[in-house]
Amino acid sequence: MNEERRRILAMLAANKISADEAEALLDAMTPGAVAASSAELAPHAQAAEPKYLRVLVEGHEEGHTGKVNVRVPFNLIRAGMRLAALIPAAAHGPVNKALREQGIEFDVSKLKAEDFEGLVQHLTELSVDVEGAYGEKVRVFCE
Amino acid sequence: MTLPPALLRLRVPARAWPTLWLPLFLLWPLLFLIFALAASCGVLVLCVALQVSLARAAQLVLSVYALLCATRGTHVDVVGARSRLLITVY
Repeated sequence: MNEERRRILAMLAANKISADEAEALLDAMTPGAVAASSAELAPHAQAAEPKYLRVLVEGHEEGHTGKVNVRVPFNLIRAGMRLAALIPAAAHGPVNKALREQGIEFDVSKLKAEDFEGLVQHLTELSVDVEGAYGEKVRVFCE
Repeated sequence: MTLPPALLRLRVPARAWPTLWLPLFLLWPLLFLIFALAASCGVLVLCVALQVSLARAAQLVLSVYALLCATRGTHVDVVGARSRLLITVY
């Protein structure tokens, strides 16, 4: 038992501090206390960070209800963006052209690796909820 | 080390068909071999045809592998009037 611990117990025995105060002091002295408290906080922090992008579509087709349920991991989005940033400069032109043909106005040469986290971070705040006149529903959110 | 998808749950359009659980992990040795061959060819093409440095080509190949591994957790379920398609990657 080290000196500080002995002193805390002596103060408790002398009724100079309460049992709760002694416990708090002992906890503060424990080396694992900080690690344990961060470990307790970590799952909450992770829980706050969404892992998947969800797309739910509900519509009606020939009297039946059609449904689309897509779950895309954020890791896949990150990996895709990293890969897109590595596309050689010589391929930027053809890729941009192919995207334009698909109706996507995007310049892949502007993708920078350092912007990924910010981009994904903002994507996690995304929430789209659309309801059509005929009962169609589109929901895009993160979980 | 991140591993590629281990299981694939697949339900083909025909409603009468059961859901298929494909044990992709059994194919890992073969897939690794195919990927290694394809990666070698890819690096060669990138270096020769596109004048990309060897380091960047290797980075590109590793990114493709990372993308493959990141597909774990993907779920696509489309239910239509007459058909259904379900794909889940584990």
